[in-house]
Amino acid sequence: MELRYIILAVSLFLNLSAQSLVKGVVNEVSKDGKIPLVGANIIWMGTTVGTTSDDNGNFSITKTELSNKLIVSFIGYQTDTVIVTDEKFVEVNLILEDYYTDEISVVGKTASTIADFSSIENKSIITTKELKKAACCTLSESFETNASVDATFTDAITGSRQIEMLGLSGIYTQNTAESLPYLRGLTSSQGLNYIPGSWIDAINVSKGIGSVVNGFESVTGMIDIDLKEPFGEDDPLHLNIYGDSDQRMEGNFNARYKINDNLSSVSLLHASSRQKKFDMNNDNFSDMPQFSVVNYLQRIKYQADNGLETQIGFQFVKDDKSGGTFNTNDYTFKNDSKQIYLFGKVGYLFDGNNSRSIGLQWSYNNYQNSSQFGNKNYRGRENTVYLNLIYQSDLIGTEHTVKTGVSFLHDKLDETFINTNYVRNENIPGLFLEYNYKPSESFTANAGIRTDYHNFYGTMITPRFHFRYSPNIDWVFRLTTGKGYRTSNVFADNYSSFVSSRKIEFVRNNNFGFGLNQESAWNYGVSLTHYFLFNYRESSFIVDFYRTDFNSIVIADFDTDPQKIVFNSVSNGSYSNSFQAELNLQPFENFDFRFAYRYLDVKQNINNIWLEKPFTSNNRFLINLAYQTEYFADKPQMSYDLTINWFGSKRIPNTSSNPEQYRMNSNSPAFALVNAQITRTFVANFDLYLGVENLFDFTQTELIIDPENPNSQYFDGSLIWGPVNGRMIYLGMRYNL
Amino acid sequence: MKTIFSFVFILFISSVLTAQDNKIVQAEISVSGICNMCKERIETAVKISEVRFAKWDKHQKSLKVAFLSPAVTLDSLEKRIAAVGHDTDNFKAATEVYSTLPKCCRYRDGIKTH
Repeated sequence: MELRYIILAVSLFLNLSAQSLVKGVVNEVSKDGKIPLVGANIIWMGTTVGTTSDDNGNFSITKTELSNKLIVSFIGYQTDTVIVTDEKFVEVNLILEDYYTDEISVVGKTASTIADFSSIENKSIITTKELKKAACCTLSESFETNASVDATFTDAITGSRQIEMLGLSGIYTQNTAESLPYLRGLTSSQGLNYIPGSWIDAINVSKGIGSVVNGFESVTGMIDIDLKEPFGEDDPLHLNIYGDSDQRMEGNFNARYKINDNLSSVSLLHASSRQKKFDMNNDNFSDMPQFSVVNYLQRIKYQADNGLETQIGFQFVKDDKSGGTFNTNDYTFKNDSKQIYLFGKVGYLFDGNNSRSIGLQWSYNNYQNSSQFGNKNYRGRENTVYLNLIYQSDLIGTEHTVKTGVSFLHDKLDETFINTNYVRNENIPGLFLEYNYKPSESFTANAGIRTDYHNFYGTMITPRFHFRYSPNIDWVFRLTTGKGYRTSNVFADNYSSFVSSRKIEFVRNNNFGFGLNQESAWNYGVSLTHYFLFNYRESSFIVDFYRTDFNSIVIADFDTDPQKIVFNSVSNGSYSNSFQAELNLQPFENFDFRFAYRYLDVKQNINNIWLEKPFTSNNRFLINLAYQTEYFADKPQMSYDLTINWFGSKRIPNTSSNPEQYRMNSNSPAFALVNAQITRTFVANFDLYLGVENLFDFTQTELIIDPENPNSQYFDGSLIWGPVNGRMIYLGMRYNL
Repeated sequence: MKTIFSFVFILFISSVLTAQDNKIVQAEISVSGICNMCKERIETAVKISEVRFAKWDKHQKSLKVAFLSPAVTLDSLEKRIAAVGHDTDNFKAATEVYSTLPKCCRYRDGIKTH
């Protein structure tokens, strides 16, 4: 509960007879005037000297040397603190707490992940409560307790991570920050670390094809991140400090200012670093890169009274990593990246309501990466400009809504890999129209089409369709289908594979960029959500099935030759089937239980043989248990969290043509990872948390082929199916003011 | 806390005896019930402008109230609660009202607090 230090009317009376006593009265102030409060508690701050007010609201209390602050409280009223100096009589007026509102924030607990009922997409919203369950620190770690999104395991050298949805690489998922493209293009290899967890307000994960309004790119789903807003009532200041047994240190600082009623701003700061080197598995390589990251984001929002809304922001990230061989300089890994991101939105609501509006979203991103992998160098630069103008209007009544607009995407890429330069300029203007029909709460249909013109690949037509039916509040049925396109960025998409002696080859079909074809795919999905009461508490059950069919895909072939990676455009070259069932229960008070199972079948056509996509588990389980003690405003609260992730066996690319000692097994074993965390919330929003990741210390045994000779032709550190790092213990604190 | 509440209670009784000016008093009433639906029903039953605060705890089975006296009396509050189906120390809910409660709220049927 928030303590307010307001000094209210203090009256002065002369009382010569009892100098050591303070007398006073406690009243309620309301529109009816002052009414005495009977039995109010009055106590000197920090002492046990106290009294209660009498039948007329009067009290008298002996003065003490220990304190001059009187705390006056009464059930249902805001507690007040009065400073008493020479006064002999104090009048304390308490203000009624809006206890019915208060009730909602205490009893109506926020679920950590919400399966959105009203959205037309199969969407789950990960709230800050869920984010607190994960150890730390960045977006890639935020999905640990989510069954729909996987974070791949980092390789032993670069520490880079990717996310996956429906068993397909995160590059087929559209990642946005407040509907603006983020983590696309070259940034996607490193950028997951560019949004610290404490900057995130919520993450919206939608499975299946997205809306045409946001572009032609999303195929398997959409991940939209809501960053901390410049406005809002809670927590103007937030501080988070973290440290772990791997000597990673991290600090986050958020500050929010309200300049006036129309103008507000938020600053988000992050710095993290690890300077120590480790080689726990004695493979001659540092287990994790050393790094230092500085990350700063500022955004300003202006909201005029006439319906005009403007937002502008910028982000600057500098990220330096280094690693490689532990004692010698046989193999050096280095990555220096820099990102400058500018973004903004202008919106105008006609007639001051939501029925008609126009908005412009824009962003500019400049990303530079210069990397060294042993004797191989990579340098990449990307400049992206994005503009999206959206007009939205109700047609006849509010049942029919139309969104239409124009967009423009400019992408300039300049990459150099060992002396070969690859340059690509993309200019893609587009037009879109989306029609939404919602005759009632139980039925929504949405049809969208967009057409874009690519300066090399030509016209792209993107149809998409969404349908939602909910006969009552307990059942929701959803159906989606649509097409998506993408230009592949082979280096950024396969960044970890540079950590090998594999030679990179392209099967060139044209003269644009890498000479590869544009990727395109159809995605079809159905999902069923059932809400029900279990033991009188809200529970949900979700099943879904998604199929993705690639008309054209760029396949990274690791299998044909273990000394090569061959990038080849293959028509009808891949498909993915994904089935998932998820159960969320609260079997007893304050205890949350989540169980999810997922089946994946992802195949790629490599030289006319359908092979399972490497590093993908057919079967995966997730169990999350969370228990929180009852909330009391004046008592510390404890939260306990346990997550078990079980991964079935994965296929490892074929290394059978290598000499025997340089081979890997054809399949990984099945394994489980267990994470646990305990959080203690003290009063005044101070949290201390202690946790452990990978409790049973499970690691991939063979990380690198031929680690002794990083310059040999068999050296390969890119075949990663499991955790590289063993058990890790971390400790952190969060403080909100 | 207990002493404060008994103290308040005595104050309250004395205030009833000597017809008094307006004042806000607090009290604790024991009320049967077992779940959050009960909680909502109980708290809503006493949601009138003269009641400044009402919060029921399902584990303690007690309702803390702060209200304007003498406009409202403890008896009047207990009657209101019994009328929506929940027993208090001095007033029991009628069987016909009790039988209209949803299954999860049937505190007389041996269901545990949930």
